Parts: sequence; structure tokens; C-alpha cells
Amino acid sequence: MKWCSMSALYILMVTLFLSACNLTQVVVSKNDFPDTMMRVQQELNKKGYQVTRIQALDQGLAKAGYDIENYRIIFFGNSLDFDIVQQRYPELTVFLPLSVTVYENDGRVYIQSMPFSMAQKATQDHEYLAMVARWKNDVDQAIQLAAVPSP
Amino acid sequence: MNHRWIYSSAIFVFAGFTLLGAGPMAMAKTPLLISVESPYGMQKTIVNIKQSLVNNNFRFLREQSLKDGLGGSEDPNFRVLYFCNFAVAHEAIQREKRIGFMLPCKVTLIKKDGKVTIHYLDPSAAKNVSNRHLNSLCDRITVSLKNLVEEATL
Repeated sequence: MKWCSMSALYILMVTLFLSACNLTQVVVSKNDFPDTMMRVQQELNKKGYQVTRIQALDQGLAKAGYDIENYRIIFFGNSLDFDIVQQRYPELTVFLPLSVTVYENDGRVYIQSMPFSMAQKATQDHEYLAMVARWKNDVDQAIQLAAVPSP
Repeated sequence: MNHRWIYSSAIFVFAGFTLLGAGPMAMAKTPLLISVESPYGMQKTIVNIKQSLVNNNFRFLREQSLKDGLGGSEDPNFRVLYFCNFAVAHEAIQREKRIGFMLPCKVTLIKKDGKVTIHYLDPSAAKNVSNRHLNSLCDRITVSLKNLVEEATL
């Protein structure tokens, strides 16, 4: 009995470890690919972000002779936040612009956030960390909402 | 019997905490940001990088300001260069769909106090969020980027 409970504890710890390693949020969209792309952009706009570019990686790869399923990267940001990062944390601009990846795999559409925890590991500055935490919260919410079936 | 229980508990707890700590510790040890100072000005460094791309099997995609598309004032002291090795990008996506946040490759050039520095995210950082099948590709791109920046700043 004791061994059983210890095994359960161990399994729990392994699970927690694996969760800690999963640094990005990936959600399965209930919408088709075009709808998901549109919904992600709409939800980001509602959160006050501006989509600056959509990188159609699938199309770029196709031109180079490599075929893959739909794979797009949505770049976005907020002008005021970017000003702050440029002025106060210039080396951390490598994490900008922010991005969300939307891709298809075996008939399912996935929305993936960028791993904000990587940006959070880059500095201990509280103001910057708070800003990244806000980005993470906004993006996580946006992609969750975008995954919900369109009305 | 009591001692065996205590010893086994201690071993399990130790192993558990080791596992819990291993992820964040491994990530903390990974140098995420790489910065290389260029001996040249902004424009010359950009030209050099573009020339070095071909030698390192990359294709130039675009050059933009950091706030491209956002409006507001753009700071000329920040330039971002995007490029891609399509063969490697394709292989990476085949192995790990979640690699999109690292694509396409980019470097950020920042001019501060008259000096230009090239900043980029170490592709090895992708190992933290991807499966192990991507490790060798991350290493290859890490070497290519290192060579690219070295060439551009010679």
C-alpha cells in the first residue's frame, strides 16, 4: 500500500515535470483554418494588439519545392509596449514582434502561442516581467477564444 | 520496517525534486540571447549579413524596422533582418510542428552609443519546447548563425 502511494507521488512529480517543460500553449481550434486565422486576428485586435504581418510559411516553402499543410505565423504587437522595450530593454527586442502560429496537422487546426517563459528567463526586471506576463495572459485568452466555434 | 519506509520516502522525494528542478535549471543554463558587436556601422553590417546569408545556405526574406506595421515613430537604430534555410525549416516542421515561434530566422541589429550589436535568439533554446528529434537541427542552425554573424563582423 505504501509503495502504491509512493509510486503515485512519483508519477505525479513526473507529470508536473513534463508540464513544466511544456512552455507554449497549444489549443485545437474548433474552426477551419481560414476561420481560425481570422478569429485569432480578431481576438488579438480586441486585446489591443495590431497584427503587423502574416508569414505564410507554407507558401514560401511551396515556392522552394517543399509541400506542407497550412502553416502561418501571425506577427503582432502594441506600439507603446514596443517603445518601452526599445528604450529600456533594447537587447530584449529579439523577442519582438510577438507571434502566434496557426497550423494544420492531420486534419486538425492548432493555435500555438510563443513561449513567453523564454522571454521571462532573459531578465529579472519586474516591470519587464509584468509586461511579458500581461502579453502571455492576453495571448492565451485570445487563442482560447479563437478556438471556440464561430457563431 | 519503519526505517525502510523512511528511506524509500526520502529517495522518492529526492528523485521527485530532482525531476522538478531539472527542467527549469536546464533552461536557465541555456544561453538564450547571443549578442555580437559589429566593428561596422549599421548599413555596412546589414550589407555584410546579406552577403553572408548565401554562404550559409540562407535566403534573405526581408529587412524591417522593429515597429514595422505598428505605426508611430520608427527608431532607425533598430533593424530586423529575416531569412530562412528552407530545407532546414521544412525538416524542422516535419519533426516538430511547434517550432513556428523560431521561424523564420532573424537577427536584430541595434545601434547604441555609436556601436552596432547583432542580437539573436540561440536556436538551441528551441530544445526547451520541442521534442528531442529537433536537437540536431537546432545545433546545425546554431552553427550556421554563428558562422553567419562571424563572417558579417570580420
